[in-house]
Amino acid sequence: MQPDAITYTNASDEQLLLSIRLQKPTANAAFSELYDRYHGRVAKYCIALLGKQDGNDAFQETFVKFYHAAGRTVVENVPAMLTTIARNVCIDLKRRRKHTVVLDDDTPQRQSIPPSSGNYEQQELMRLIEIGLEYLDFDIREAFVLRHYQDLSYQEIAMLTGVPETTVTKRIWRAKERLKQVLSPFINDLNQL
Amino acid sequence: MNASFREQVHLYCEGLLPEYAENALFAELSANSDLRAEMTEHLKLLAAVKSHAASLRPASGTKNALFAELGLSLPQSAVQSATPNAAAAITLPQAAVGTGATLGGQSTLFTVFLSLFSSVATAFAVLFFLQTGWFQGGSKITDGGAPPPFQNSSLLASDPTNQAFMPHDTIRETTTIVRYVPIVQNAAGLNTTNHSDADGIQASHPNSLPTNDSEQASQQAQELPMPTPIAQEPQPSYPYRRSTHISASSSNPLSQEVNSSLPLHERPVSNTTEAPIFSRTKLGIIAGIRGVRSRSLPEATVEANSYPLFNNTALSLMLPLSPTGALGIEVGQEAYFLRYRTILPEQEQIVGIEKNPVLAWAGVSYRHTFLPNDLFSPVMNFTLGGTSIGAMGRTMLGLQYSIDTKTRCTLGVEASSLLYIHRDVWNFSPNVGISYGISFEL
Repeated sequence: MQPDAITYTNASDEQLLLSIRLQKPTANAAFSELYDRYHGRVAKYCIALLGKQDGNDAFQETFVKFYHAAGRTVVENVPAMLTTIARNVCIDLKRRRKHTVVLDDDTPQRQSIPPSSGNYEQQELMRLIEIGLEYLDFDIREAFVLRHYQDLSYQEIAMLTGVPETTVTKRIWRAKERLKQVLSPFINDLNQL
Repeated sequence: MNASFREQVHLYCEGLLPEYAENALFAELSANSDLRAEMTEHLKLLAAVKSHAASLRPASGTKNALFAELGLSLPQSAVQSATPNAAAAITLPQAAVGTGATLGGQSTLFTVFLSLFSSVATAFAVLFFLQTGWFQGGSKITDGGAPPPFQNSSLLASDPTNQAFMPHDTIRETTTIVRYVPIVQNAAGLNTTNHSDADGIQASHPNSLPTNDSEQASQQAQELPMPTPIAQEPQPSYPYRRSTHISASSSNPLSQEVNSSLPLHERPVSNTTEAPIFSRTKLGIIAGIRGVRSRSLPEATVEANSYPLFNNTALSLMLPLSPTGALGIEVGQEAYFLRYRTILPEQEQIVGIEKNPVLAWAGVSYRHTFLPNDLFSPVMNFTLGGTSIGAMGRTMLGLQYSIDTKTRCTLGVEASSLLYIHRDVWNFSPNVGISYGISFEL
């Protein structure tokens, strides 16, 4: 069997990292396995935090940095390291690219989602949530994303962001309130969820 | 509503509410309907966020790009496992285009259905007209030559001298010029019994005109010397010489004698492979103006601004590339109904925007005339251009009527679509309508 064909489904993170650090012939397969395990988690964080375009860039840059870091340092907790790298990358990217929201000067007309079922309404809801997230302040958005997209505890979020748990609680509470406020014209139409 | 209870709802949903506070919250929930609604909203929001989190995934091909950036080769097992994922990821944008192009999914389907139906109907109409030979006067196409378009028309049916025309002869003028007389026409081709116009003129002026063609020929032969030098001149390849009057031209003894004096092998024979002499399409600029009575799909709920001088109007300048094709530029104005969502900064709410602005557009246009030498011809016009907010495409299918060699009228159906992006989401606004216009060859 060729090295590339080896599957690491049952291998632990430490074994995979060791293969990468020692630059074994199976490093490609090991890195591929780690990617398959954690790419969803990292993608959720990056895209929810920065949007699709910048989120994808941050996602790719995160794994590039992780690969180089795994080759020269001992990593104990892969998801924690990936989240830390992703957070730093996202903050750097946010600093480099200032987002501006262009708003129309026309007088808008309030409108509710037409009561229809199907895939379209679901996609529309996803887009509305993305817009709502984009409108949150970065710190508040980050706390909310770490909590509800990464399923981290308040304590973990506090450790990662370096703020007290009470601050995390307030940020998440504030994020929910703002999201509810933003989505209030449509929140009553979300019956199918 | 008590703010502390709202915060307790939040803490309860997060699993952070202490047990000793739960009973108080439950008691308040059973008594307070607003608080129950607050909790319902809270749960709906969290469910929506969970659904959103599940939908987030990296773009297709990211893994390949990542391995390529790292200089790694993607393992075989990863390639096999990544392929279905990539295919699934690729299908997502297509579904988004199909269902999310406008705010109403039914409107999109209706628009697509209407576009398909109109395209098929137009294609059938064109095929029907071509199949029945309506545009070709029911004639057959001769070897290498254009069909005589009006061979069966009433104009020529009442004119038996048309029998002297060659099968490949083409009459271009229909309004200002009654008929063209072929130079190769010989005496046998003349039908003297059908010169009713000449007879009528002769009846009114019995002393000034000969009684028939033979007398006229002999009379003019006596008055005019034989133009032998003319007979030696090389004859042009024109099959016809334009006459000023039916009777005078059809019985012109000069032309008859000139041609009859030529040897048979030197007589001019029309070359059917040459371009038509009196072609309508000359290599000059064609300026056109047309109006469009269009409506948006779905129907606009907001009235458009009114610019009565130039609204729903297009101006074009076309340069003919061939007898059938012309390329040029077009500018115009048309109202496009726009619907999208945005955020109100003051209320911090997402709102729907509906507006119907009149947009100026400009683009490159290609016009194809299917039967450029005929009185009626189907035409197709494509325009690709843009407006101040996005790209625009237009297609017009219609029927062109040639008033004379330089003036044409067109009536048809026109569809246009405006493609614009708002907050990274592509939207399109289609219009369908009737187009009518006139063009002049400068």
